Amino acid sequence: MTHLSDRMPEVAHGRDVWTAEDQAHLVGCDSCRSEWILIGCATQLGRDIDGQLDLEGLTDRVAKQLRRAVQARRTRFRVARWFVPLAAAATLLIVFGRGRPFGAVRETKALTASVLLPELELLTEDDLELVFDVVPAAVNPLEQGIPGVSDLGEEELERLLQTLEG
Amino acid sequence: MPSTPGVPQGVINRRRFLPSDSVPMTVPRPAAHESDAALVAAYRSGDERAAAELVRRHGAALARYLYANGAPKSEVEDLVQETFFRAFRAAGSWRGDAEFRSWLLRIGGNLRKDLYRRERGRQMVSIVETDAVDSADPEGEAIATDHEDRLRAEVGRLPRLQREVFLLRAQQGLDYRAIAETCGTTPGAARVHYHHAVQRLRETLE
Repeated sequence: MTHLSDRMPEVAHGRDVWTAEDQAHLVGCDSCRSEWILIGCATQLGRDIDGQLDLEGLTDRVAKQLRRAVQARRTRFRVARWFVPLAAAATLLIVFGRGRPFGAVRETKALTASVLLPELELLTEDDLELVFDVVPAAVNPLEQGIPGVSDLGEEELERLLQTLEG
Repeated sequence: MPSTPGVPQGVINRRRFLPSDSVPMTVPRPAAHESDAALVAAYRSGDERAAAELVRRHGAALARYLYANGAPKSEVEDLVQETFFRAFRAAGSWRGDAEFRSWLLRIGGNLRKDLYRRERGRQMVSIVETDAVDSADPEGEAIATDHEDRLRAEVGRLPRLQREVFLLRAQQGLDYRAIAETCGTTPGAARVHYHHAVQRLRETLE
């Protein structure tokens, strides 16, 4: 490498100029001359791609792509805005519902019994035995799912509303 | 990013990817003499025309770099588009102390590497493409094209860092500090890579 090497790209890109002394050196030095030719070729490398590049079309496509990305991001944001509070509400219902399974059992048992009672009088003793075996499983609240909002007490409802409304 | 009195910085940052059709155009049409930093700031404020000006300003140089770096001619435009798209989406992470073009070339170089990794499993990308030359001086043009093809082929055979440093220095005219930022190395190491590349190319092309 010579003292001109580092300046070659600068001169090739028009940010520096050769002095008369530099030019005289380039004429007489094969090594520097071949390097200077190499750098000159490198600055032109890929120039044939310029004619094929549609910059205006490219600009439009980039803008469209950005708009689509923004739209997709907004859609995701909108979905999240609805989904997150709903998921939070569902989680709260599960938490509160699990906190009071016995109340739910009692209410469900009473409801089932009131429905069954008129018919019980018509059954024989064997049939009653059979019903007795079947009823406890049928009224098990844990098998029926999670109690709804109507299962909550006034104080629990108040707390739930405060959590949802902030 | 200029600060707006009374508006927290976070509010401005959250708006940076909003499309221009929903943001009032408060920024005047970008002029060719505006700096890259000013155009990026204008784009982040919602001025889509600033992005267009940046594409016009750097698109051709980026395309040349990607092509010389081994990207197939047919894929150069898509790579340029994807590079700008990624750059604008991440405009908030661009530090103004680095040149915008260096940052673009870095993103483009990484995309090119990803493409090469994907292609390597399927087929080798031909580094030299032979297209018909339409010229008033077919013989002279053919010689020039031949030289360019040979150089491009030899550049393609250089180790990755040597190739990138050589192109960034000789083709793009970046200084060693900008090259170091683009390639993730030091200015001193970039200088060594450049001289190794020049030496090797001179040996093979002579």
